[in-house]
Amino acid sequence: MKRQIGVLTLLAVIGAKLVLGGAVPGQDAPAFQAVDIEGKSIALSDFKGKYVVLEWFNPGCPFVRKWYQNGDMQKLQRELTSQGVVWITINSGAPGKPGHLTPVQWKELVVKNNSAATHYVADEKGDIGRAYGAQTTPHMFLIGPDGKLLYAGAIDNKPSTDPGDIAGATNYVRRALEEAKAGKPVSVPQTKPYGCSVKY
Amino acid sequence: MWTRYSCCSLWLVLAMATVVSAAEIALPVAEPIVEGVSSVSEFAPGAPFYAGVRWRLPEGWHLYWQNPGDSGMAPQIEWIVPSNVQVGAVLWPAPSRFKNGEYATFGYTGTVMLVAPVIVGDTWPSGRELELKIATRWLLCADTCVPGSTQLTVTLRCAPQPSPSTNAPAVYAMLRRLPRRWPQITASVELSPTSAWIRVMGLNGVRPGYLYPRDEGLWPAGYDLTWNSIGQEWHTVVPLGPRRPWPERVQAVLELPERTTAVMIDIITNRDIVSGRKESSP
Repeated sequence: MKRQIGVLTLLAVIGAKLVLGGAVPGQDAPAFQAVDIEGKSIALSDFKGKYVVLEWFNPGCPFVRKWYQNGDMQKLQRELTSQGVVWITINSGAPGKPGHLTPVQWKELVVKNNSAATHYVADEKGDIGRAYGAQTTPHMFLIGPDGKLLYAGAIDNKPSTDPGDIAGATNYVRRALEEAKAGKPVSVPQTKPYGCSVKY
Repeated sequence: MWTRYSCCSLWLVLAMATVVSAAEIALPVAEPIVEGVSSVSEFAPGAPFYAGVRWRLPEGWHLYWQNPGDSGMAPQIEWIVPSNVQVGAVLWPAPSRFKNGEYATFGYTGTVMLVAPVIVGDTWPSGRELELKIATRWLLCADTCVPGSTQLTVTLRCAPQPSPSTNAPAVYAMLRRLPRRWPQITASVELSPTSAWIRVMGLNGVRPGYLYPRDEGLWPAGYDLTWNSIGQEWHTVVPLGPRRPWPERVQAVLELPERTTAVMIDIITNRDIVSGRKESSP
């Protein structure tokens, strides 16, 4: 009995330290404010009433290239933004780290890639990335019109760098959006993301 | 200096085609030397041997374990072998943990060998050569990541008795270091909605080190484990990762730093927190 109490106390003490950073599906998505690469100030709260997709991005990462080199990510961006979704692409790479982009470089890349996100945000200090627990590129989040996080995790269920895997994969972001719009609970609200590490 | 493989050049061409800015041009040179290896140069039908892939990695780069951790990707090995040849599961050496801020990955540096047991059926025609074709894809990371792939062929002669290859000592040295099961070590886990409480029994006072789960997403790789000893048991609590549901049995590699070794353990899920606990005698 004494041992049992000791163990439970230990569990309580250790458990108290188990506060992980990161956004949790079902809870309010962490608020943020930022200036996008066009110089426009945005805040998550500006988009209340709309679905918001956050995409963590690094141009040099092979998992990101997988999605951009044949236009698959751009197609998804167009598909969702045409339905009124706000898509924010975020680069949390610190200055001097691989994949960090200046606004000028990023604007060039948007044109070259024919990207179709609503906003591009350089999160150089990594504050937004840490608030969400963004750990890979890509790492995807879907926020509902009420500001609650609906999905956090991988873009799809085929962790690879091969663009050929995209067509046959289940896209978790699209599925979560479809389910939420149909008034259903999101069947898979969280997955382990795959990709390169975020270069904080 | 590094062997280049034509299959990688296509990827490089594709990658170069998308280059627009200075930030993107810096494609790192990360060409590992990749070879097919076998423990035998001559095999005998019915006598098992080991074959697989060896990577010699450039300094500063790492390859991933079967669970890559918070980011990255495990190397993949596909075998193309004649129908009367059986290939077992890849034997993964114990990984290292690479901490990067709040996150971490699991993998290998230096020379990495992933082999599997191979056995050729007794019906193999005597004197006929065996060609083992191995297709492999991997991701190599340092500050940046570079994927690679190649197809290797290991050709072996058939003989009445097997003879060791020049790689045999390296293969057997790796096999000797594989994490083993120690029958006296048992482990269990009790789950709360946000955390997992892991207990390891039977270590006889040896302090546990990092615990690497074979499945992905059970707990964040970047979370540093703190072990507490209670009697003969070691306890740690980890925050839950995204994986649902938690498997009934988690296979994991437990580092034993004091013994400079690692052991393979099965962590059995205890669904009944209070009445299900068994009091073990010291």
